[in-house]
Amino acid sequence: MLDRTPYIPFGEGPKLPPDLITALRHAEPDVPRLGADDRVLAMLSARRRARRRGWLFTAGPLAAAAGLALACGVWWATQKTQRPVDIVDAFALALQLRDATEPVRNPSTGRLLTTADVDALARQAVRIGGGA
Amino acid sequence: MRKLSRALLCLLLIGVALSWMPQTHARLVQAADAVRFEIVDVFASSAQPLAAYQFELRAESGDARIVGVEGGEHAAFQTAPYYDPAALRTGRIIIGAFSTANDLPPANARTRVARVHLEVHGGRPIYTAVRLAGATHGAVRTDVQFSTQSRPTP
Repeated sequence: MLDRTPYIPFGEGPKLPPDLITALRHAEPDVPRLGADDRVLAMLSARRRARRRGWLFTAGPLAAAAGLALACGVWWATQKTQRPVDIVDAFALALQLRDATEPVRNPSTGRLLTTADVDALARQAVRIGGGA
Repeated sequence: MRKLSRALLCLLLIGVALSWMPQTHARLVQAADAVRFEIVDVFASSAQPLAAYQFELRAESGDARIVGVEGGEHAAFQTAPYYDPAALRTGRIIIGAFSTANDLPPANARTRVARVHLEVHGGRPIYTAVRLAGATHGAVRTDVQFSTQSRPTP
């Protein structure tokens, strides 16, 4: 006949006095915690971890989807407000170059603009599948 | 007897050749008629003197291929306008030009701004010019009406 330790449901088994548990912990901190209180602590921390992981799995994809939607919205808004280049833009630049008293520069790059830029702009305007 | 049969055979061959030749000639004439060239003049008019224009020309029906683009009649637009060379050999082109000169086509005057040469196969196409942009002095945008007029190349 085997000598088996009977299963003791949680909360019904014998408990060590709290001061003894504290004393044991302080005496041998590396000893694995096997007491009933420690099981509860482990269970609680596991639940907390699981809850945290659950939030991560729920909130993560949601945040990613929201970010993607925001990026798409910004891109769409810029595309909608951006007017394609047309011949009038090239004409305006040609007039600006003609009437300028000092060198005209590209405001974003600082590069000097010439009649070649007017030509390039006009060609872009009439491009099939681009421009206007 | 043999000589007679040979003569008859020769006559038969000559007859067949003579009867085939006019058909071939007719077919060649028909093929030449099927491909022809047309000129499309594009006219513009606006409420302000015209300094810049841009339009899209399309052959709405039929098989028309653009083969060349010329400037207009007014001095301000006589040089060849801007267009995409990739549009040649197709039925759709975007044409644009501007002039910084002071002498511009007057307001409310119908002036030819471009001439397009096309190679046409089959039936007569319908051409439409769609307005894309227009401007007057100082690059001030203005409304421009475009119209087309086509005729066979003389």
